[in-house]
This record gives sequence, structure tokens and C-alpha cells, in this order.
Amino acid sequence: MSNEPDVQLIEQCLNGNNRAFGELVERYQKPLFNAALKIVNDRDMAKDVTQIAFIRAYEKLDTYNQKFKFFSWIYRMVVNEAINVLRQQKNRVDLDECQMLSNENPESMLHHRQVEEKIETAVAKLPLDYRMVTIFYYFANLPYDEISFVLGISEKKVKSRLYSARQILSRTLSEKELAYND
Amino acid sequence: MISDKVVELIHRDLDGTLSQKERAQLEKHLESDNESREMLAKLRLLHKKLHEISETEPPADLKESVMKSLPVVRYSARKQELSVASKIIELFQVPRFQMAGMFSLGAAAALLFLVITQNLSISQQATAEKAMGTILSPEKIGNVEQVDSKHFTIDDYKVDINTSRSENIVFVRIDLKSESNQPVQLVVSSEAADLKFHALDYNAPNLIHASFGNDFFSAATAGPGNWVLAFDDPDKATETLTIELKTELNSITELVDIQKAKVENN
Repeated sequence: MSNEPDVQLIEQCLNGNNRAFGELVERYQKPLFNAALKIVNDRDMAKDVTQIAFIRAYEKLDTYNQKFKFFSWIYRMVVNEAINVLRQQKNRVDLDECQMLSNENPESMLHHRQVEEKIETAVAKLPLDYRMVTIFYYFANLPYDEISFVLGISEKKVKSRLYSARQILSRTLSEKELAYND
Repeated sequence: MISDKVVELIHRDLDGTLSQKERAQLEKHLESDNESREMLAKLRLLHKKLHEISETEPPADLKESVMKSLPVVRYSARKQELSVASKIIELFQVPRFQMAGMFSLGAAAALLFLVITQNLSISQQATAEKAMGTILSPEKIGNVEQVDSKHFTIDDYKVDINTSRSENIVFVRIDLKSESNQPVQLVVSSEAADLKFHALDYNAPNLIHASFGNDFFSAATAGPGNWVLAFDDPDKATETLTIELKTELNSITELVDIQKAKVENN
């Protein structure tokens, strides 16, 4: 993978070098896919969301404002696309009943993975607004100002939603569950 | 019952944003309150576990699927189109258009013209006049009266649209107020052939792009902003302008009356 800064790759891409965009895809596909997966809770849908977000970013690359970080800009497209997907699913699936990564057999898993699954399931059951803030804070490791940009809400709201999400998770998960294998 | 203040200090402790004074305050409180200590301990454990969640590998063919699906985009043509729009808007950006107190829009617009022409260099002025077609002179503006006023909200935005007109010119002032930086798209358009658009001024710190044609103006921004637009309306045949605002989640279309209380030239 290239070490060139994002802005240089974007510049190359705007000058017709599609391989530069390939570098950006390589660089960000994992965190974007993970964010999408945690929002939509389905691997195939997460792949579609990530793919569409990259294509939207490519189409709008000449409107990208360098004042913002590229990955925050493209995270925002993931959020928008994920919300679209969830809306389309809303009539068919009760999101609160969604099973997180449910195809795997729990008995075959390592203990720490079981703890992770419990936490992920609890996160997946959070209201969407709280879930997204949690995903970007903990799983994407974005600071408050970047989350504010990605979600289009004030930093104050980001903090208040994160605090509420933690409180809910803390009530949902017992200390024993959290401390399992710790 | 733990007070809201202590709950906030506990969460800020997790974020590592407590000042020394606040930390001392929290520690002092924890010494005497078991419930708070337990809450902090559990939240710290949760915080740690959330940070430790491992990432999932994306599908192996994700990159290939993306690269195969990329459309053909002619960035250079679009860039040129946007730069023309930006240039015209930039020319009218300094000095800022100030609506002070009960200052009428007509007087303000006339002043704007005078200040702009006094502050622009000769070459800028020539470029501005060339770019704008016919620049708005105080004589051309004439008497201006308010004809419509609309106020509504869309997502985090409070939107005020104030429309005024003289005999031949329609002014639209659009104010978007928001504390968020949610992206929003603004389109002002008309189906009438006799309207001609002029961009007068804007102030949108997070402007993403702007473009316009003879009969429309479009801008996307992320956060608050205001625009003052003007349309030549020599035949006074047009009844309404269409103003559309779109966020990622919602869209609102408003018809703005530009004929009400039509002003006759004395």
C-alpha cells in the first residue's frame, strides 16, 4: 500500500488516475466496512453500503473539501447509505430483533469472542442515534469533532448521545458478562 | 441517586478530558459515595471492552467490486463550471452584506453596489460587470418592498426566506441557522423564461459547492449560511420562485410569491 497522503491520491484521481482511487479503497475499506457492518448488522448489506459509499465518493471527489479529513467525509457517505438501507429494511425487519453476526456457532468460539459478541449484540440493540455515535467513537476511534462532522450533529449532541449509550450498555450488560475472561 | 454533574464528570473521566480541579472534585466525591464508585468501575470496564472489540475483515472482493463499478466522471469539466460560479460569488463576497436594523433591502442593495464598486479594483469591477451581465445600479433597483416571508425548519436547520421586489428585480434572502454541520442542498429556481439570475452575496463558511444558470441557483453547504440572490424580472410575468432544501433525510419545497403587492414605478 502507498504511503502518499490522501490529498495527493485525490489530486491524482482528479487528474484521471483511477489507480490512486484504488489506493484509497485499499486504505479505508476495512474501517468503512466495519462501521457499515455495525450499523446494518448484515455482512452482505455492509458490503453493498461500503461499495456504494466508495462510488458516491468517487463521483463527488471534485467537491471534497480538504478542510475535512477524507475518511470523515467518506464515513459520512457510509452513514447516509446505511441509513437508506435500514429504511428500506424497516418494513421487513424489526431492527431490535436483529441478530448480530448470528451464523456462527457460539460453542466453537473463544471466550473473549463471546464477550465481544455480547457487547456487539447490546450495541446493535441501541437506538440508531446512540448506536452510530458508539460505533464511531469506539470502533472507528474518531474524536468528537470528527463524529460531529460525520453525523452532522453538534459535538454537544455527540457527547450526550455517547453518555446515554454508555449508560444503557452499562445497565444492559452485567459486570459478570463484561468481566468474563478478563 | 447520582447527580447529573457527577455522571458527566464520570463520563469525561473516561474520555480523559477532566481538568486537574475536576478530577480532584470527582475523587473527593467518590471517596464518600459507593454508588458513584461502582458506576465508574463498571463504565471503565465497558469502555475498555468496547475499545478491545476486534475488526472484521472485509470481503476479499470488495476493492475489485468497487473498482469495476466506478462510473466515468469528467472532473475537469465540472471543475471549470464550479470555478466560474465561485469566482462570481467571490467577487461579491467582500465586503459582507449587512442587513442592519430596519435598513430596507433596496437601500442596502444600493449601498452594496456602491461599496462593491468602490472597493473592487478596476479590473475586478470590469470582470464583475462582464460576469454578471448587467450590474445592479441604485437607479435600476428603484423602490423595494417586501412581498413574502417564510419560516420553517428542516432537520437541524431553521430557515428564513424573505422576498422583496422592485419593479424589475426580485430579491431573495435565505438564512439557514443551525448548530450542526449537517449537509444541506439549496436550490432556487423558476420555470419562467424571463427571469435572469444574479448572485449578490453569500456567507457560508462550509460551502461545499455552488452553481447557477440563467434561471436557477444551487448551493450545498454544511452548516449555517445566508445568501442574497437577485433575479431580473422585467416582464413581471412570473408568479413564484421555487425554493428547495434537501438534507440527507428530508426535503422541503416552498413556493415563494414574487408578485404580491407588486410595486408600481412612480
